[in-house]
Amino acid sequence: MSNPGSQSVSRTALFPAAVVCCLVFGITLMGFSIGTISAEEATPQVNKMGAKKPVAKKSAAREENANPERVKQAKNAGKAKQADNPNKKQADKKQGKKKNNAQKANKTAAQKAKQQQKRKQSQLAAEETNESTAATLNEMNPPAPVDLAHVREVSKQIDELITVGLNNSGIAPAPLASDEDFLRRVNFDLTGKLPTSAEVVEFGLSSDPDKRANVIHNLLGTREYAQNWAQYWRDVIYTRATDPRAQRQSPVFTEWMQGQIAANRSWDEITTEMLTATGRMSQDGQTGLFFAHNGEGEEIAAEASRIFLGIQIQCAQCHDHFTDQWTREQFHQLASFFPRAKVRRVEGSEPRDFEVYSRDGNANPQQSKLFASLADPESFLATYDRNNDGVLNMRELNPRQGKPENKKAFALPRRILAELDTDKDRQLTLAELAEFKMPGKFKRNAAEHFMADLNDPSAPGTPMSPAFFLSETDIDEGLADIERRTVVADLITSPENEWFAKAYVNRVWTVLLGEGFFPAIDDIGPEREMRHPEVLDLLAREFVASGYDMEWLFRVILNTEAYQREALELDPAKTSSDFAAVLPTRLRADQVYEALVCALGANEPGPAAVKKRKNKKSFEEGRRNQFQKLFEYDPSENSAEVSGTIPQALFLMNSQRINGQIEGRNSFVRELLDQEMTPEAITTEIYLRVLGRTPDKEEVELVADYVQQAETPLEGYEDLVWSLINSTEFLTKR
Amino acid sequence: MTIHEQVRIGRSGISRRRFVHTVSAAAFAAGTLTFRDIVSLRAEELQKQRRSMILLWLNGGPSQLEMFDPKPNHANSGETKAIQTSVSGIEIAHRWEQTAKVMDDVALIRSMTNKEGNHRRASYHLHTGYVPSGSVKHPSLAANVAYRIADPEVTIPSVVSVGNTFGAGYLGVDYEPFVVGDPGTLPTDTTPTVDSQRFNKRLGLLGQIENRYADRGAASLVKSHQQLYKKTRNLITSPELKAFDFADEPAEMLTAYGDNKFGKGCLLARRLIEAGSTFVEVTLNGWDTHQDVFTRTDELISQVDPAFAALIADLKARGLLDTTTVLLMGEFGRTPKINPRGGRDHFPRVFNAALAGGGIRGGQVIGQSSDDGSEVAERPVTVGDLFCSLCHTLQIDPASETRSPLGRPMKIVEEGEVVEELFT
Repeated sequence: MSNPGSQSVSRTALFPAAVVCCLVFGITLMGFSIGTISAEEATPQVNKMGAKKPVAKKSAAREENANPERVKQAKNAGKAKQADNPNKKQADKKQGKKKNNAQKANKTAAQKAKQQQKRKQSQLAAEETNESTAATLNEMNPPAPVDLAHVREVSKQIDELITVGLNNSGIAPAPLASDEDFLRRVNFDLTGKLPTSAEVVEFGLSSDPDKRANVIHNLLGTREYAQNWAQYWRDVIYTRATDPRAQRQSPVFTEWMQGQIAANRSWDEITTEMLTATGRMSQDGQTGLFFAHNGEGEEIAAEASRIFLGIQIQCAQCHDHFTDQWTREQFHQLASFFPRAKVRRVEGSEPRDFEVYSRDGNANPQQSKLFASLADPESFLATYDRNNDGVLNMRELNPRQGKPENKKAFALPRRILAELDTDKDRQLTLAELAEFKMPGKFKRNAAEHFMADLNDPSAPGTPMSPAFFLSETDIDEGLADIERRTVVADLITSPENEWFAKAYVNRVWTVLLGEGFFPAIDDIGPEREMRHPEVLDLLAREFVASGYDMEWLFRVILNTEAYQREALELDPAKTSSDFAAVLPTRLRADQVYEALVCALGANEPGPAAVKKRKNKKSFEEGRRNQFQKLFEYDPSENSAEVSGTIPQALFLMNSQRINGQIEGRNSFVRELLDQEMTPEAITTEIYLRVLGRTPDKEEVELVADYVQQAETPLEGYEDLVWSLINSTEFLTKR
Repeated sequence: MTIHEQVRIGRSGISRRRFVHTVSAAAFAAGTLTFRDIVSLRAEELQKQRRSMILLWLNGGPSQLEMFDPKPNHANSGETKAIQTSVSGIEIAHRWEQTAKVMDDVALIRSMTNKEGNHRRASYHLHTGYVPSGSVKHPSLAANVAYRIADPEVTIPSVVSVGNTFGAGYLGVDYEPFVVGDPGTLPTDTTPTVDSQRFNKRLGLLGQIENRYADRGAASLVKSHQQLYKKTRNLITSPELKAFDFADEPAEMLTAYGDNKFGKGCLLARRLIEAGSTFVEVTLNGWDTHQDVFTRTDELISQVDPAFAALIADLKARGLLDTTTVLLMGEFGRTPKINPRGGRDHFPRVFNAALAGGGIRGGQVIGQSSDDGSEVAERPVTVGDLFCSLCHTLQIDPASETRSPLGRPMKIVEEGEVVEELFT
């Protein structure tokens, strides 16, 4: 946690009287430096060149990605056998219906190596950023050179498309939000914090026509931006964690993600890192998705599809999808990319640590292939019966003699198969092979995925081979763990897979505007009802062209009028605002926390806290975790369905933590009263500080009435702070 | 119209407040009863009529073979033996000694069957009556029940859960569960930091400020927030709040329930039902026994068995059992075959549940699994059937509808029939 508030306290202490007077009497403050705000802070620095990864490098990567001629060496190896696999056949039939087929996402070895090297480089950059997070941010991470003209152009196109849509349906768009509302909104969206009262006032007074674009630019360069979005992704992943133990990894994940975002690594790189991760719970944040589900392949496949593609393919886990085209086979083929990524305790680690590792060892690819192909005894016999005598002798079961590791690998299958030889003639007939049942012990050790038999859950099920439901690319069987995870990461992040870009664009748009292109943030896909598809298409296309540049996407969306409109609740008679207005949404736990810190300086420990604590850091962390638990919600939920809880209300109303700050001896209300300001100026400052806006006339009056009837003005204003903290508006991004 | 009839109307949806107003006005007009008479008369009626439910949730999928469907004569039973219960002919697993003594009041279903073998999906299904769907967030059974029968004048939350659970979905704030982390103590922050006069003034100022924001395009957000604050304020000032605090509970009671979180949760459930809550859930985690099923269930049952038995006996002694439905279950069962790690894996095809109270005839077993436990041999009971039966005990029509945000009419449960044997 940062910003202990000392700076902002001193600012506000000096600042408000002057500004409020100016507001009240209508005097402009242009060219007037107030309080501790320096001219430098107030001046946006748009074209500063920085150390960030140049955009050109990215577009090179993009071209490489888009090259449709890339072919993977190993790719076709499994093709011939594939026809024998009944599951695949069926899946392929279904896939044949789809249009976007001719996908060749795999890379040549050379290209792959290049790509890896590139990843390594930007990974290093990300790590560096991580290490120096304590340093001042703008020095360390200055804004990147950006093609602002292109950003403006795309923002404009989006607004034009939305305007056409609104005109056609006769809806009048809401007016642009006031400067105050815009500033609060964009701060919450990028940095997760409230702007200080000084920033609000100053922003309102600036006559720079580009001031909104400049604020967006500056905030994108802050450390808080990276932190806020890292926390967002932490919530996306960990609120759905099926393994409770994973929660303790969430700070590690957040830190890792923050480094990625701060270095502006592209979304495809981040996705690939997460899907191909190995490493320790205590230090390798990129393993988050695997620990969240304790290495369970089916859960990871389901979550990867939901998070990175917005497709809820897990509905097809037990039956073909009811409303979509996905089949049960396709779900389990996706799960087949992950069976070898396992979680285990790091031997001897104390305190206990866990790691994600590849279990390729005892499940030799040939071994698994051998067992898998026994599902069809006839083709099994045909494959191995080299002398074509219609039976298998034991020698024939040793396909590649000579290599000792192969012999070893086949020792176990041969032993198992030998047991099928009921007549002891040292030969296996088709009838004997048909008796084969997957031994339970082997199944447990087998690092291949099996699709459960719904009618017999205790049976091993059908062995599955990896395939990606959005592409026809053939994939080798028996690939090692990292190989197959790299393949699926490549397929998911391929520019030819439109749903990767669309899922990200839809998610970010939904967070920023309160409403997305689809009714649900993570249930999109070809068969979902959609609004303004032309806008999503444009954004997704441009996002791909940017090299999945997350910052670029923020810049474009935040600069649209659609984002900058007034926030109005949805008309209950409608299902969508059609982007005529922004929908108010509830702040996430981290944002509420930051808002409290900004409003009250709540992270300066109160008197009670000083007595109790011994270790400041862990004490703070403990309280922060408690707070997080209390206010956290799953950010993939429809924001209209997120509601407050009684314990939250109890905390805001009655906790010592809040009230100690409001009523304490060092409260900011006392400081304000010491300034001998007018009642209106005090009210204005309190509103600015807590809600990030000035009160309107009626509010000033009702507060004045209230304070007059209070025991003392101090009590009256304390009650005002309490009421604003407990108001709907405080918890809402407006 | 008699008071009794009017109470019935009240329970089917007309709020108690409205009822009291109309009746007292009429009674005053007729000059027959004093206001106080009416209220006390009605309170007694209500006490008699009010239905409620306690769900004891064994999270992770408890093994039916180590619960109420032992197979002592089959290899699948492993270390688990069967014991006699107070009802001759009913045997349960040997660790459930206290429960065995109250079997007269308990009905077992040994033929629960379902298809969901994934924790999340199965838990969702068994809490809401629906399988998860991207398009609608279904209200939990708790919310559905409270929506229909909770007494709006009760000032403590109508839905309480010891441990996290599913929410009210589109039914909204009023029916969201109040989650208790530490049963036996007052919930945190229930005492205002300022005196009550100033506290009320603060709330008044808050109301005025909220109205201003409502006018700025956030009317329904404000409304739901205000609803929440009203509920919270009611809780703070509620004389029933002390139900959360065990200070007045005799020590032997706590001993009977078990001095652990689950035992305390069950005791809290009884106290809250007594104080007017409609639905209390108590969760015990740890039932996902893929390995060491015997040692691990041993430990878990040592908490559940005394608590469950004490709860039934206690509710009965207080005359609350007839109107309180108690259900003990988890999201699915476990494979009859013991796996090589000495554990059992997910098995939705056959599982079991124990029910008591709410008019259910105890001392009986519904359904039967095959000798090896691998399938239902007799009288399969689906999730829908179970939900319909629960609704029956609560005197609610399972087909009564609420509207989803998109205007779709939603029943409590879409299919299934009441398991009539439970009540005959």
